[in-house]
Amino acid sequence: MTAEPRKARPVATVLVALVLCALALVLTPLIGAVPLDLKEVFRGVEPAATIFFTLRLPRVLLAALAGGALATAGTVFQTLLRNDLATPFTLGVASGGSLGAVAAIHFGLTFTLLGLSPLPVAAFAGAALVVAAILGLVRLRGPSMESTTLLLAGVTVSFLCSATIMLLQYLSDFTATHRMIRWMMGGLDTVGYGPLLQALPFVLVGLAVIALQTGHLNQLLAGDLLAASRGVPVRRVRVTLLLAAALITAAVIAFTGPIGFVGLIVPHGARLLGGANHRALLPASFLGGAALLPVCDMIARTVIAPAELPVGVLTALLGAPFFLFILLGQGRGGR
Amino acid sequence: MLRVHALSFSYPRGPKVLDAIDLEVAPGEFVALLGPNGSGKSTLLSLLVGPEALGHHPWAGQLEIGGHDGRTLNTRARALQLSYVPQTVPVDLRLDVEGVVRLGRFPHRQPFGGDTADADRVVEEAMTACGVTPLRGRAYGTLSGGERQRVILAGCLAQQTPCLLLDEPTSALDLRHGLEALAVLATQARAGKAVLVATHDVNLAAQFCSRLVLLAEGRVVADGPPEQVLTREVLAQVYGVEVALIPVEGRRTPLVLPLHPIGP
Repeated sequence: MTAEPRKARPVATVLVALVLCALALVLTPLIGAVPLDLKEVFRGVEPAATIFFTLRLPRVLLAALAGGALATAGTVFQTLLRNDLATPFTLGVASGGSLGAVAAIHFGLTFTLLGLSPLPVAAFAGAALVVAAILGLVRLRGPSMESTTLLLAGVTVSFLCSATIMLLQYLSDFTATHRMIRWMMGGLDTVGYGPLLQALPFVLVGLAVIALQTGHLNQLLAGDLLAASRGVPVRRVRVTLLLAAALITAAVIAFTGPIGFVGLIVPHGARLLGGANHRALLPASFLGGAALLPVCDMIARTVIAPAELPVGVLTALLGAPFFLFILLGQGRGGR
Repeated sequence: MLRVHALSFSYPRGPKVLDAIDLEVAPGEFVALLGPNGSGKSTLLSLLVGPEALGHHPWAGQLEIGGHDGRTLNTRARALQLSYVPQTVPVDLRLDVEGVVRLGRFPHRQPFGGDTADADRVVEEAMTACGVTPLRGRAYGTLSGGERQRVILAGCLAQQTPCLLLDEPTSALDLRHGLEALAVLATQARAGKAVLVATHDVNLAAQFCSRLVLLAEGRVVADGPPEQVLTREVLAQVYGVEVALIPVEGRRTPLVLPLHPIGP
C-alpha cells in the first residue's frame, strides 16, 4: 500500500496565512532596537509615536507589500513556466532592475521624476527594458509563447545584465561599488510612506490583472494544449500574466532591491499545504509573503541592533530550513 | 459536425505535413484516424483544436466546426464545440482527480461567475462514465498512466461538446481499459456526438468505429467502413507490412495481424 500525500487544505491554508499576516502586521512594528508599547503609541507619547508611525509602520507595510507581491509573482512564474525553480527573478526582472540601479550609481545620476529619486526610476526602467527584450526575443523565435523559449530568453538576458553589472562594478570606485553591492542585497530601510505609496498603484494593478486570470492559471496547469482546447487564448494569457507579474516585481524591487527566496519558498509552502488551485494559492501566497517578509525584516533590524542585516540574507537563512521542513513533512506522507 | 476541405499545412521551411485533406465527421459518427507515425494525424487534430494548439502557424483550406467557420471562431466558442484529449497527458498536474475533471467545465463558466448550476452533476456523470469516481480525492500525480488518461477523458466529457477529438487515447491503457475507453466513446457517438480518434490500434478501431480514415504522408488514402479500408493491399501500401487477416467469430471485421515488413 502506498500512503497518500497529505490532503490539500485550501481554505485552512488561506485562513492560516491570513492570521499570520495579521499577527505580523500588528506585532512586528512594536519590536525593534527600542521596544514600543502600543498604548503609548496611540496616546502620542514621544518618541514612541514618531518611531512607530514614521519609521516602523511604513517599513513593515512596505515589507508586507513587497513580500506579498514577490510571492504572488513567484506563484505566477512557476505556473507560467511550468518550472518549480522559477522565481520572480527567473526572467531577469531583478538583474534588469539591478543593472538600472548600478548604472544610476555608476554614472552618479541625480534627478527627480514625479518625486522619485534616480535609483528606483533607473531600477524600474532596467526591469522594464529586460521584459521588453525577452518578449521581443520570444517573438523573433516564433509565433507561439512556449515556456522553454521564455525561460531560455530570460536566462540569457539575465546573464547579459549580470555581466554588464560586473563591468560597471569593476569600473567604479570603492564607495560606488559598496553602494551597488548593498543595493543588490535588498533592504527595506525607509522613512515615511513615500516608497510604499509610489509602489502601491503598480502592485495593485498587477495583482488585479493576475486575480482576473485565476481560472486561466488553473487551466495552464494542465498544459498549453489542454488549456487551448478548453478555450484559453494561451498566447495572450501568457503575455498578460508575464507583464503583470513583472510589473509587481519591478515596482517592488525598485524600492527594496532584489529580495530573494520569498518568491520561491512562499508559493511552494502554500502549494504543499493548500494545493495548486490558484483560487486559494494566489491569496495564500500573497498573505504568506506579506507575513514572512515583515518578520524577516524585524529580525534583520534587531539581531545585531543598532546595526542591521540585509533582509535578503535573513529570508534565505530562515526560509530555507522552513521550506525543507515542509518539504520533508510532505515526503513522509508518501510519494 | 466537423468538416475539413482542402486543408494543407506545413511548418515554416518544412515539408508539407497535411496536403489537401478532405474529411467529414457527422453527429453520431465514430471515426478513427489511422496512419503510420508522421502521417499527419496529430497535426490534423491540433489544427482542429485551434491556432493555439498549432503554435499560431498559418494553414490553408476550409474548416467548419459545428456549422461555424473555423477561421473566425474564437477560442471559447470553439471550446464549446469540441473537446480534446492530447497524446501526452500532463504528469505533474497538482490537483486532485475531481479538480482535474472540473477543469473541463471552464468554457461554460460565466465571466466573474462560477460554475453553471449543473456543473456538479455533469462532473459526477463524466467521472462515472470513465470509471474514475473511486479516485475522486486522489492526487492526480499519484495515479497510474492509465488512470491519468481516463481522468483526462472524463474532463473532456465534462466539457459537454458536440465533437470529441482524441489523440491516441488508448496508448497508455491495458487491454480491458482500452476496450472500456472506446466503449465510452462509442456510447458518446450513439448519443449523437461526432467522435474522431487518432490511433495506431487498427483492431480496436475496426471493432468500435463506423468509419476508418487512413492517412499517409499528409493525404487521405482511404476513407470508408473498416472492411473496405483494412485490406492487405492498402495496409501493405501504407504501412509497408505484410498482414494476415484472420476472421473472428462474432466480429464484422477480420483481425489484422502484422507478419513482416515488405519493400525497402
